[in-house]
Amino acid sequence: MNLKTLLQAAGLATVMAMTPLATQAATPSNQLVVGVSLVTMVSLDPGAMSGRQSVEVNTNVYDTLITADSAQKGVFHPSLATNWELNEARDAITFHLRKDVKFHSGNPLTAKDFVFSMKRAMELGIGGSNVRVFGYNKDNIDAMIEAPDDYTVIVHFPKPTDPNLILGVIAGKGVCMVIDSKLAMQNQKDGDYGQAWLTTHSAGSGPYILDRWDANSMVILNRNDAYWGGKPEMKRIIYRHMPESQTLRLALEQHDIDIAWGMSVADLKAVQKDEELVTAKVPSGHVFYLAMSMKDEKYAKKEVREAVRHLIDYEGINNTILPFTGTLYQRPIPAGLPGALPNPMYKFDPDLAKKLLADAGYPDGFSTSIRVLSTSPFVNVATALQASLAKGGIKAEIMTGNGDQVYGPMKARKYEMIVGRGGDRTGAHPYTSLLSIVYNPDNSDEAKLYTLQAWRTSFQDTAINEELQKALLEPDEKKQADMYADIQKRFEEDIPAQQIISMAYDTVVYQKDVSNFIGHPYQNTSYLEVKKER
Amino acid sequence: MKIPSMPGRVGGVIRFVVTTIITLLLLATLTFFLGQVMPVDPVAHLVGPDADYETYHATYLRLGLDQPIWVQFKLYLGRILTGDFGTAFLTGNSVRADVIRVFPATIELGTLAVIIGAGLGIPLGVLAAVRRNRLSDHIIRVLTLLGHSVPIFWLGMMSLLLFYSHLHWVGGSGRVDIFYEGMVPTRTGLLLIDSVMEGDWEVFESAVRHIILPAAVLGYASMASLCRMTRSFMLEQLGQEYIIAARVKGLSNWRVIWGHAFRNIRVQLLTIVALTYAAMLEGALLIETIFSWPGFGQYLTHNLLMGDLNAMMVCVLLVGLIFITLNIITDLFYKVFDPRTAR
Repeated sequence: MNLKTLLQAAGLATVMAMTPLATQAATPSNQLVVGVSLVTMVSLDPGAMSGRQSVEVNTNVYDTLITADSAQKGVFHPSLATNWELNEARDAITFHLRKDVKFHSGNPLTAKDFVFSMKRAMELGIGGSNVRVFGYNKDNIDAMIEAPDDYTVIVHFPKPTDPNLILGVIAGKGVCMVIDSKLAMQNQKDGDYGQAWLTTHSAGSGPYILDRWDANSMVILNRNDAYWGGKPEMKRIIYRHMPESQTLRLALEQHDIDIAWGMSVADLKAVQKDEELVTAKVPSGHVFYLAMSMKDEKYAKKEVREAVRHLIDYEGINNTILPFTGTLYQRPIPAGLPGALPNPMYKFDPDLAKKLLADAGYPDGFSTSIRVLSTSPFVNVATALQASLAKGGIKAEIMTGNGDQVYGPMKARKYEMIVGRGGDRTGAHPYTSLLSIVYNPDNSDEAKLYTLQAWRTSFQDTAINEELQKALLEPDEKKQADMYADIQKRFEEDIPAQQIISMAYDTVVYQKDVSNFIGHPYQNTSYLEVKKER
Repeated sequence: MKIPSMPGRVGGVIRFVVTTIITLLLLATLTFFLGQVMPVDPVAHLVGPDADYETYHATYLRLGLDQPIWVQFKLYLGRILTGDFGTAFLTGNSVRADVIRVFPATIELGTLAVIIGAGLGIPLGVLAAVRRNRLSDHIIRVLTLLGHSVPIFWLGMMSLLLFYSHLHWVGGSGRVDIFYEGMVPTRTGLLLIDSVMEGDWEVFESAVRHIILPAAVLGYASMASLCRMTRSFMLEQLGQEYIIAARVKGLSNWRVIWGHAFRNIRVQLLTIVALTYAAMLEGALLIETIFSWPGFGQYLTHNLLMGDLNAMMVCVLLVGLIFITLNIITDLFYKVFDPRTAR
């Protein structure tokens, strides 16, 4: 009897604990909540950040001299610089800065801060691969970046190049973001230019101010009421670490978050039907590829590489595995850029592949291995490839792993095949797209040209290297585009060791009442004008 | 009860302190060397996939990874011994501050879950034993079997779908509605307590709405095992002669069950509850991931996967300390519950 009473009490307590405590929650109209995985956020120092979420946060905390248009490639807008001009010798650009800009600290922003930011990045050497590629380094940076007065910056070119590329670098988010030099140096420790401090603090002039960053938990940005470009609409922007796609979906449906990045295909398909939500495509310059190492004797043979080219089910992979993350594409230069060509439309053709393999001395095929990330969609693409390669007699074993176990061996050039995603992050210029995929000036192991996919696959065509540098300096745009197109054709005739399968993009989902939100292709999404229509 | 002489007690304390230090040192050493052989490259995480070799190498040097392993180990031990746990390799955040932030979140969740688990599991286990092979025993068996066999992440997802998405009874992910984040000052780090201390009932309500579901799911899983254990311990006791004697004496059913049989299984139960609690403090990774709960489990696993040795080491030492502390507490309770062990 007594036991029964106790149990009844326990039962009642449980029921009470489960009773509705309040009604449905919704985000406040003056705060924007972004659900995203913050796993790759390891530093908020503009000179050392690498993950995409760091870039997006800093885009709203720091300013650059100019910004790249979110839709039209090669178009730049004034930001800290009101105007700029190329000199006659085409080897330097002069930027004229606004005079009314103050950092969050209250310090005035001058040309010296930009010079400091660039010099700091080169001295520290922990970021800025995209700048060094044009010849800037810590020895020449003093001469290359000048501030003749407080509101003028002159950027010289270390070697002849296309000025648009340099503009792209200056507009790029990273080492070209302007850091408050006074504040950074106040927090310097052991000659680190404030690096340790800036990893978790901010010293910017942008529309939002970093309030707090709890690793793998959240980032909170507060509005900069004194922003020179006008007061931002949102009072706070909150990034919440939400690594689970289904949790993101539920939170979107409950209006607990406004924007969601990184949802799975299944959940994206489901939310597409929801009329309260908008699904948008954000382009990138990355490609999905199948890479072969030409250090392996099998893939050193052109016929084998060509056979593999015809053992990929391009349409199947793009239609069933890569919706929301990729579109069928087989060439290095993204559509819409000068020199871009229509797809060659390689098809899955096992008979042709078998014939090619027999010509190469492998009438019965061979065994190989594919290294791939254990996550979706990579492992799914690898599984599809395993099946299609088998039709040509190639028995592939799939070796899954984390980034270190997949891209580590690729950088050490010790692998057979890899399914991955890479290439030029911005996809804004044909030269950089080609550079990352077809160019390899030094095919030795010691060169360690990690950023070049051709080096990673041990592919080298010296004629292509020369053509690419020639095209870069061609002043006639029409001729230049033709040269870029020719390089692609020659690359394909060589049968490269990296077969492009798909042009990657990201899918973002947001509430219908969020307006002025434009997912920027280089993770440079600005929240300055984003607001809620309620 | 005999009171131990002072030298004996002091000697015991010294012995205990020395064993604790040795245990922790061994743990630190083992973790350090396991960290060395793990196929994880923290530099690659730090510089990102687009970095060139120069960037990679500069970062490698900055982290001191070019030093011989024993030099790195010596430096590391030296720092730990002086209480400087350093900054996490990967996020640059102070590891101490990180742990102080994530650990209370786990304590809060784990404690509530154990209260739910033990509070329901033990009475249900006693009931099942008393009403062996009757309807209530069968119902309890089905309930606990489900708790045992259903994967906890699935249970978490489904409960979110039902109670959060469809019924709107509870809050979703995180410890509190996002716009309440940072509204009450951190005193204990336990949001439920901090909000009460601040008298901010809105935050308190939001925190309750958020913790109730993950705690209930975790609690249900632990309830299942605690219930099964209690049942079998009780059955063993109920078959003993002293129970028959008690019944013959004419004691009420309640006194026989709780006053005699249950008294004798308290010590065994205590060990199991303590172990369950320790496991929860170590972090319930799956539940923390699904509910985006910024707790210790996520922190530990993330640093393990990223090869962040600094953070990992502190986590491992902390887990070691949790087990040692809970062991001491259990020992103390043993002495209270079972006078034989106090002798």
